[in-house]
Amino acid sequence: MKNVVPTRIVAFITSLMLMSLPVVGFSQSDAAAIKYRRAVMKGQAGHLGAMFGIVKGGAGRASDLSAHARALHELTGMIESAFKQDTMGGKTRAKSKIWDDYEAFKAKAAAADKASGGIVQAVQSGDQDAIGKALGAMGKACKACHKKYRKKKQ
Amino acid sequence: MSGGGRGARLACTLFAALAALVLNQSAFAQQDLVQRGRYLLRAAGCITCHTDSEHDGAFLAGGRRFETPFGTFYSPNITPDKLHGIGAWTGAQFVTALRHGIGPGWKYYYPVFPYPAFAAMRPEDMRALWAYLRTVPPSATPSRNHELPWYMRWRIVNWGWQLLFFHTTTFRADPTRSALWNRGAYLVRALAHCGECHTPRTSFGSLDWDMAFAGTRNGPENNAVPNITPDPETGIGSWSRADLLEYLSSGMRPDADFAGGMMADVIDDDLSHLRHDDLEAIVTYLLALKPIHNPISRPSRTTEDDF
Repeated sequence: MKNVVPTRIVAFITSLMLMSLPVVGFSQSDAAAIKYRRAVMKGQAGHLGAMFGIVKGGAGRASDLSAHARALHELTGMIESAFKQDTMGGKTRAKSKIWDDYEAFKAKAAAADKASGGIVQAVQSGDQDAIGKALGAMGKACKACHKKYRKKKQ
Repeated sequence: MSGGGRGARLACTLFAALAALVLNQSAFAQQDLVQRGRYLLRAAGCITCHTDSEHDGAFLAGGRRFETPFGTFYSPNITPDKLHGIGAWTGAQFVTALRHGIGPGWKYYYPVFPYPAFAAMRPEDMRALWAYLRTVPPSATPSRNHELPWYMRWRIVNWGWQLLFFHTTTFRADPTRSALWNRGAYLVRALAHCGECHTPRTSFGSLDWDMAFAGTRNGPENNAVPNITPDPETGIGSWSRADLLEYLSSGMRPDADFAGGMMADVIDDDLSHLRHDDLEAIVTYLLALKPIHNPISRPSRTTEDDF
């Protein structure tokens, strides 16, 4: 039987269809990546806010400080992997600057991780002054990254 | 020794002592003035606009870029460099720039430079600022030209703008309010000039004072700027004093998120350097503002778009 549609045309159309798949695939995994990193970042705000609540607000239990500090330190260690995926054009406040120079971003993430490690140590020492300073230093590390890599709310 | 000689020596000694006292006093006074000026520089937020920190620009050497609906502006060099900065200015010219928005040679400034706010600064504060600025390391960075649409390129438009929208003012304390409130009013309105970003503008670029501090979608850097009136839904009405004080000194919001963008610079460069009682004054003033319902963005609630 003769081919109704020339093979070349079929091949061409098939390749077009195959090329469209990554686009569809990307946006789904982009959405998942955005959701994940949002959870990781919000978790940090949760534990940091809780620590401020204990230290400055007198709420909660002082004995829980160490759990919050350790949890925060675990989460800051995840920042780098959470932002590895370049989610161009997704519904996100992450600036594309992150992926233009990922090494620089990694350095800031590492600084945040170091700062949270400082809180763990300060809490272990029990020195209230040191804890206050470590919390302040954490705030500076958060801000340094957000200043550079996060868009303002629209 | 004759009586006259002894008298003359006494007079000379007294005169020398007096001169030393006066000169020392004026030296101390000058040092005092410079110290006050250093603090006022922070309070007035000069660093944030006049330093291009994103590109590691020199201190107060200008070059920060502002994209506005009226064109792209670059802040000038205000170091005491004689060619590229304001080193050749007199104190009187500095005061004219702040009070009237006019630079040497009748250079009418674009109100991107918030002279309408600075006009209300007290003369002694302007003098202190000037004294401090003279001590800043000079930087030979040339000031960049603005990139403006054709109808904005002649400074006569600023003369016209002033005719319609500006007349110089002085700060007058409100005797019916507390000293703390008045200090806050001075800090917010004349120094930190919060309204210049947080108050919406008319299509002519003048501030719409009916919506004072109620936020805008068209801020500098083309971003939304939050409503900082104490409206409970769309402003800072649900923030406590402690929340606000924490935010102004560290950038941490009630949900433990941290400020980003230009406000982070404002906090790092300026607000975090203010004395605690001055921050208390600012908070007192803000919480006493008329609450205005203006949904721009909600400062305290986290939304889907947070990351």
